[in-house]
Amino acid sequence: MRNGELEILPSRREVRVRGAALEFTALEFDLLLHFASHPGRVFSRAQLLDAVWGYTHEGYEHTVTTHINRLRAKLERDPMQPQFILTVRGAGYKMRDAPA
Amino acid sequence: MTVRGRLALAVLLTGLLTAVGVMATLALAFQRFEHESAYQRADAFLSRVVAKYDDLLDLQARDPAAFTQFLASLLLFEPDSQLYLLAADGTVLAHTGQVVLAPGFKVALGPVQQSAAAAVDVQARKLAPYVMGDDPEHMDADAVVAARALQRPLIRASGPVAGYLYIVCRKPGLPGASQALFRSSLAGPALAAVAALIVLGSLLAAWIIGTVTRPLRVLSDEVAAASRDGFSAAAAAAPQPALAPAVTGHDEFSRLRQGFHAMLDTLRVQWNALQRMDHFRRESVSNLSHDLRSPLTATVACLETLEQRWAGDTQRSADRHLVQVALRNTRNAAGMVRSLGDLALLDEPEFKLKPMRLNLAEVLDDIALRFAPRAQQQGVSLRFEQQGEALPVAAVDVELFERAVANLLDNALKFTPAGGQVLLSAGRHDSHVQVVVADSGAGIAAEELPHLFDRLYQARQSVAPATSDEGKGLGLAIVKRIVELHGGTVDVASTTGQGTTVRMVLPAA
Repeated sequence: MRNGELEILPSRREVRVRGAALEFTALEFDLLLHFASHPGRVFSRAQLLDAVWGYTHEGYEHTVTTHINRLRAKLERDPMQPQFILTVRGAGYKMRDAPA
Repeated sequence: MTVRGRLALAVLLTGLLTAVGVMATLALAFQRFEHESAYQRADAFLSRVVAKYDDLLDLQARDPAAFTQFLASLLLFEPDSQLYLLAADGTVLAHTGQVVLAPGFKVALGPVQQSAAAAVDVQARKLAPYVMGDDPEHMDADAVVAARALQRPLIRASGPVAGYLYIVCRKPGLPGASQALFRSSLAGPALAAVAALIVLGSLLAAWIIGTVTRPLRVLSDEVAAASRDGFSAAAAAAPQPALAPAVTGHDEFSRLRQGFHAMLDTLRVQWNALQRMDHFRRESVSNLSHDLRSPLTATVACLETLEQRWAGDTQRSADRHLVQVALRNTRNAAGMVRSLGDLALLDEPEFKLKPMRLNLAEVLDDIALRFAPRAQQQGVSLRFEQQGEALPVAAVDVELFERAVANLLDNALKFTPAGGQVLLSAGRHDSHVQVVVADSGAGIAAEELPHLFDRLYQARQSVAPATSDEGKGLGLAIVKRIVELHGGTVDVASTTGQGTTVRMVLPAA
């Protein structure tokens, strides 16, 4: 699947950005895949925790924050001004719509 | 002034005083020597004159003018001297020299008689190696003088003294032996010797002082190092630095150094023991907390079951009430046990944060979202706001930071009644980031404010009041510890009846 400069090959669990291959841990990859599979859709931390980690127990949401920031550190040119994984205030996070 | 400085100054002053004393003594001795020589010459001269001419008084009486000439001729080989012929009472009858004397001018008789007596009396001579007397030409200062008694020839053998032959020895020009001293050949070598002595003495003194006080300097360096590094594990583990060679020797300084090192060792041992005890205590609390969780959880579960079971049973309402009280207190205890365990963990010196550079605005927004259902249920408005344009970015351990904010929000929601509001905000100001949790709730009494973060105080207040679920408890103590671990500060402002504001300040990243 493609989203601009981001390329994901789910079956091989490979990720490329601007042609260069990047390494991700299992959880990081799963999170990225979840976002990429639903471009433009907003997820709260609780929803991500449920979908990717399988937890429903509140109190572990900080791990979602940690992983989102790790993804940004690897994918984005400037993690503080993200292009791929965007913040939606008061709602959560989403992957940007794939450019035409 | 340093000890070395004082020692050096003392030695220098002593040296100077000695040198000055020596030079003064030399000067005086020289002057005395000069007087003695002059006196002996004068005395010998007078003896020769008186031996040759025994009728001086008669000669003078017969022809005073010629006599004066005669006197002058006698002085051919005695420069710097003046001769006087005196009557028995000291009146000057004739004299050499240019100065005009008033008629009837008298010279002090004491020295005259003393000198005259010394000529005949061996004992008297021993007492007075020289005599100082009046100098008619310079009446302001004494000069070396000598005198001989004269008699009329006809009554020579016995009879009173008829007059005196009086000689005054004085160097022309500036008076004083000091000039002579400096011009003499003695002066150069003497001064050179004194100067050399002073220099050598100073060098020797400096070396002695340096050697003696060196151990003192080494010791004070060691003390400074110890007070700077303290007993931190690093300092204790590090090998002794090079400035501490083996402390041998038995002098006072060595003993002092040995004593100091022994003291340091003792303190280090005690400190390590204390740290181990502290660690053991913390571990005990942590283990206890962990062990208590299961029994408490089980108790809570049973009580909850009972409470549910008797929910609709009006006959059991009194029993149910008891169970509710038990449940509240047990939950409170469970909360405290959990907090104590958390604090013990956070207190461990080896505890390491896992900081990550984050936009705190996002985290806080997410936390507000997480608490939104509860706030809504209570009828309290909860929202997040970013202060200012700059992104409030800081390096934080996400789990701990979220826990701290969650504790604060927990308190805020607990004490804010329906219709109130809780505002969460973050903003960047220069080199730090400020996070604020402000509620419009009941507020905190002024006398409670200083104790808010005091864990001992909070523990004692933990008997669960009817309104609270878990009590204020140690939540704030944990917040404080977390903020401190991040290198920040936390403070609370509150007005009873109006609300509370908790402000955390963290270094920006």
